[in-house]
Amino acid sequence: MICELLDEATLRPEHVSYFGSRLRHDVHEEILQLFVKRARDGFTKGDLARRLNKRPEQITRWLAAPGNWTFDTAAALALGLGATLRVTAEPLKELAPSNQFHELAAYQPRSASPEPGTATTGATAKITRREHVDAG
Amino acid sequence: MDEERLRLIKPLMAGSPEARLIYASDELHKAIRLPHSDPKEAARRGRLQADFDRFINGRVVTIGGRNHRQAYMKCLEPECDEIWEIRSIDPRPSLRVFGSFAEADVFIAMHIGRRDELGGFNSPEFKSAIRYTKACWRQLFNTWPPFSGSSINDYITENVLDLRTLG
Repeated sequence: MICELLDEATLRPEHVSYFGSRLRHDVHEEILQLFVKRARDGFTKGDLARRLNKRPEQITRWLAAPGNWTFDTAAALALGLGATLRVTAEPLKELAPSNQFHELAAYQPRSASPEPGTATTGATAKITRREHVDAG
Repeated sequence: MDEERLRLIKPLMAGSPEARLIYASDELHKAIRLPHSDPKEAARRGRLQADFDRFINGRVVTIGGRNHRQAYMKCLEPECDEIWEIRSIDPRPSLRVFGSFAEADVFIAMHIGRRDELGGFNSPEFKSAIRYTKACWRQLFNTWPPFSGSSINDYITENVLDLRTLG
């Protein structure tokens, strides 16, 4: 897939939109991780609402999804959580393959045909759990 | 899977994490995977794939209740039916992917609908979509019931934010 993306003379609309959404998810996840960390010390949605002079319901909507976020929204949320966001660009061809796989991810059905648009990874089935996130 | 009635949805980027799995019914898989010549529709599919990859990659997902219109996932009422939706909310009209968990971190997607065509939660169209999803499950798994848990971490073991706990 990476070769396909690098070779496209004109990028396909599904790829452009995919990476647009992915960037939103990256920023959203960063904010959620920040919020969860602060929540462990007793920081609440209400505290964040007061810092940003917004209603708590607005904070819930922002934390739920990045659908209508602008760069300013992300920056304000980060600042409200006592942080600032930085962006880094990673060349596609330098992305390292992950070793985080569900035990069933490598299962190949007997009659399986490869899915168009994907490449096999050669990775072994191994589960590596990430840090638990708990808002409680 | 051996009968090809379920297809594993792979992340767009080969080699990216697959900490959770989404299997699609063959019918749904064909609907979302066949190439599309309309650039607008192709772009919408790219966003849907990104939403799927968020789950598959094991990244933080948000779970909401009835009033959380922006949540990534919801368990639909009545919750005992164990019908969930993944909500691809950007751009509008949003897409709703209906399914159930087969076990922790393994979601079986069986039906997709556009929010503007589904109507409100109790609309006949929405109820029909839920009925269809339940029928698909029975076709696929016979009497084996959908996975049922007592807390959100029974369904999604890690990296989940339950908006209902935020107060």
